[in-house]
Amino acid sequence: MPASASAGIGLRLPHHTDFLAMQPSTGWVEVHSENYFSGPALVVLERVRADYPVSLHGVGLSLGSATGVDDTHLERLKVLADRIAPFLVSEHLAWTGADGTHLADLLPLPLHEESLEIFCRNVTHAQDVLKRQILVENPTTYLSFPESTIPEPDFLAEVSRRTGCGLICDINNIFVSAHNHGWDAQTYLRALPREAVAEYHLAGHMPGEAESAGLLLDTHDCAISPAVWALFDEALRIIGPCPVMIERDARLPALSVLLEEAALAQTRLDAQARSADRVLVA
Amino acid sequence: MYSLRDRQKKFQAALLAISTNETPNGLAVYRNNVRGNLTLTLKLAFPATLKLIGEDCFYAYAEQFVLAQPPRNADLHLYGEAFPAYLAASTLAGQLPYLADVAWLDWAVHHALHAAETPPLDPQTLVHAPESFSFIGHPSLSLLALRRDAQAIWAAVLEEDDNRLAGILPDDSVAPLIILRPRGSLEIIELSPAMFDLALTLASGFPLDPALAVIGEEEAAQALGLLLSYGLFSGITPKATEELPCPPR
Repeated sequence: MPASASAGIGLRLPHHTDFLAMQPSTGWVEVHSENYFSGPALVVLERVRADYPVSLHGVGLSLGSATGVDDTHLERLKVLADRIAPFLVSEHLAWTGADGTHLADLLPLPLHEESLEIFCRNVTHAQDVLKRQILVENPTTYLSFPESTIPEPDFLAEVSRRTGCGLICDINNIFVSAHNHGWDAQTYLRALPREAVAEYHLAGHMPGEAESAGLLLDTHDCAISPAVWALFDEALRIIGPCPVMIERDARLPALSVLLEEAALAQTRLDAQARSADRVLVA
Repeated sequence: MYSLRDRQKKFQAALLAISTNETPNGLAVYRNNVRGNLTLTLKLAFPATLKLIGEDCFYAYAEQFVLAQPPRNADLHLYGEAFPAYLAASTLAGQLPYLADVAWLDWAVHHALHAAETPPLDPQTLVHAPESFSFIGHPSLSLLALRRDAQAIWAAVLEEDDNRLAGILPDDSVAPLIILRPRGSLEIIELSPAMFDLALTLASGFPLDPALAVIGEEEAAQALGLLLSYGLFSGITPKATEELPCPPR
């Protein structure tokens, strides 16, 4: 278990060797669960786990599927979680395929009473099988559905209230979705139940081109933008400190670059903690 | 209003539609993500195939395959088993007759690397085996009867050794291979045709005695000992398999 508000990094397969050699002083690491269901990478993760707290972040459970979660996939996740003993297990407010097909992307969910009931049922089932709380992350979305009736942060708050799950507050996703849909990012942050937020994610984004022109894309392939850092500061004031993860998935830089971004996040967490102390003293 | 299930089916169909005309830009992002993520999955599973035909050609065929046969399992390490057969049926196979076999070898290696870590069967187990039993093939095992030039091409392409690649003569005779990882490291072993048939028969769950009878009693013990030393099996099951699985290619 890491310090309650420490910064970690997303550990990706190309950084395995460097990470083991450097043994960096990061607070914790997060990995994509599905990359460790089988194969030699699992052996590396066990070596990492011997020295660092690990968070398992899934992308394939499809908690938003109308037909329920894939129990085979859930069982694989349970086997991995039992083996690694992660301090967090998380997934997304998303679905990844219909009727047995899996499309390897986090697809947008219409937000209404029926989808809320289904999503809560799936989260409860996952938590029952895993025998632990999971966190649900706010997604990046690029379109909305006319049948949606519930604002996204309200939907997440209700999922947490009904199921007892925690939340990941992905600052970059809020920034990108706010741009794409014309939302107010600070209003979004204030609508989240602060007591349920157990982790932050920080990542980079890029403007869309050609057929995606006008949208921001959650690319995870570049440095965190100043605007996202500023929104993170705002989140620390509104929600408070908790573990934060630097997330990079494409055009991976040297491991040291991610560690520098994690150090920047840690500085902000520490500053917020000092600020909170001053308020208490005053 | 669409039910959630109907909305998801309709959305999925739009993502997998071949035409990209008049796609709203939000939907286009998801379409591009799905195609990009799944073709990347294939790229990682078929490294020699990718190098053999080049990125542009690979992506063109991979994208067609992704739309025609999207994954049916959330574990994407299992996605791509049908890609070699897809390539074998493509026009590309006419120009590169060894292409599908190189892809089969890629898949067998990928499969071996991601199979469950299971120790091979200890031959001592057979001392106390029931009278009638069948073997359980090791989870990392593939048995492939490939063109003889395919393995050399596969290796030369992966090592980016163009001189060696240029020197490989076409050879469409059959090389019977087993590919497996029973003890942590990958093994690619060529068997004699008789040994390959025995390995295929036993790993497919056929009972031991009839299978050994085919090759004769004298050679049987030696042949079985060799297959056990390769780590071909992970266990035995007391009863012969009633519903025999389709033999692997």
